Amino acid sequence: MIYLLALGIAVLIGFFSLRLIMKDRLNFSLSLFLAAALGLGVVGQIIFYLQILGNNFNHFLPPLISLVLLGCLFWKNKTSLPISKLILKNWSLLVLLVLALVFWIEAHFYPMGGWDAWSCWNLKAKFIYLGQERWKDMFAPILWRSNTGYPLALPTINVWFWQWTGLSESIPMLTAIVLTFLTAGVLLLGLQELKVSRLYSALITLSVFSLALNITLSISQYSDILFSLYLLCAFVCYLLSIELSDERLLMPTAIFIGLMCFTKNEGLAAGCILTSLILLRRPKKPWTFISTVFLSALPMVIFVLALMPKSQAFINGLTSAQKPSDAARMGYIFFNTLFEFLRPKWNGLWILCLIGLAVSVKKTFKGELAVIALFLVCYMTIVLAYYQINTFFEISWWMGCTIDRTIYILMPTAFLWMGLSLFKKDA
Amino acid sequence: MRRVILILFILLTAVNFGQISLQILENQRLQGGVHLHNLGDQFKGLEPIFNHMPMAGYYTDKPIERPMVIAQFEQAQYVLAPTVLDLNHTDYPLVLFDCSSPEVALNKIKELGFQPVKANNLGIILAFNPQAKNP
Repeated sequence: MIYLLALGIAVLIGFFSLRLIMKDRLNFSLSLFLAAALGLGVVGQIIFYLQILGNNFNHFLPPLISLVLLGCLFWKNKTSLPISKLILKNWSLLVLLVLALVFWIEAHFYPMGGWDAWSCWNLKAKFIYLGQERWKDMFAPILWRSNTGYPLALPTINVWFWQWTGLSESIPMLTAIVLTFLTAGVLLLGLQELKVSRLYSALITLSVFSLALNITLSISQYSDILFSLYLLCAFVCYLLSIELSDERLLMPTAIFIGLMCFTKNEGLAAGCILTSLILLRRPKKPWTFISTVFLSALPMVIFVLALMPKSQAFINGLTSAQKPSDAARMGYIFFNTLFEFLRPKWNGLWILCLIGLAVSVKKTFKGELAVIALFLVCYMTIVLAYYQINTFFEISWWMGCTIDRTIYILMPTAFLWMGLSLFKKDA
Repeated sequence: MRRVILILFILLTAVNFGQISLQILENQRLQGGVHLHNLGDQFKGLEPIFNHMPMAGYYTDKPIERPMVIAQFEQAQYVLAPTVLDLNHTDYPLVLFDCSSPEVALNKIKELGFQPVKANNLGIILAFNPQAKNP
């Protein structure tokens, strides 16, 4: 119950923030899902700023500041939560209930999550929550195995819940379920709001989120699902800004891009690419857009400048004589990535996605959908270039551990693209 | 063509649900055994002893190239955080011994001149190093 209260406060902060920007322009169900994603990011950032300023975790201030912020937003909106709109008439929401049940059951088999959960993400949360003035020990070089250079969005969200419930191993598990549920919800309702029928959007969401590999990766308590969620939210808001011809929606787009930057280092790369691509489309108020992205990504800027230790797992293969980056490595990266899409663990989902995009090729690269295509190409190019340049790890081991996660992060956005290309009503 | 893709999506979803149902049944069958994700259970209960200790040693004679060995160390680190564990370094007041057998661990403790403080039935022994300076 206390977990739900903490989640509810985050959702309300997100909801009233969105309402302040958009009034009631957005579909109520979709705005609830976007609000939850936004609210969790906001409370996580509150924890981060307090930690930086106080250099010690304060159990009293985050709830106080969050409640004051919620009060201010409520007062500014001069409206309550329109509970009457909660009467659900959309049958496709049943899809989310089914998926939530599956996520719930599966997550309980992995109470501590996957390897990176205990060695990286949840470890950082424990340092923030219990470390007192020694919380920065999480960046100690001795902990190099724990990816000390990864940012703190997911750990701070888990700390938000811990401060309400007390330290509990089940909290990161619940957070992973909630984040997966939100991603599925934003995909389903985002597609519907962008004029894809309930049947098609429900089928796309079901097929993506019922895949065993996706469920395992989603409930592993890694930051990948948070990255995936914010990327999807950013694209849904951006596409809606064009669909509804409403530039106000660029504000939540910018906020989600900034939040994404703090999820993983790759999130920062994704944020820079997406910001550039949107700016190339010449929004009416480019400086408002850039400054919103910057403000929302400020925790990542602070993290990079003041906290992030130098990576000990990096060798520049372009300059290293002992571990050079060679053509054989490039060939391996290229072909391994290509074959990854065809591997049986994806159950042919990527092949189906490619067929869908190929069938609707005239729409696939047209207008605003070209932004998704360009983003995916640029992002994958940067990730693959990093595999090529950093020769610290043996490439077959490294790609074996990570390439499926890289692709998985992009999957909801790729299926949003495919769904809009193929099934959008005015197509 | 759209109809064909729609049918393929329906088939794929059915396959996915069949697969995840089998996975759930398999996980239920395996429940109760020691898996990768509950290796850290062996270190639970030690947290109060490490309270306010910034660093501690962690000694193992097992090959650290083996994923299960390093996973166990990483989970020990998670359970005992914010204390930082130094793998295979023993110059700390408290050192955890996670050895191939309790006999090997006790011999090593004796060889180093440490005093065993606590042991559990899974072979993890906590020892005190009297020569170590307080951090």
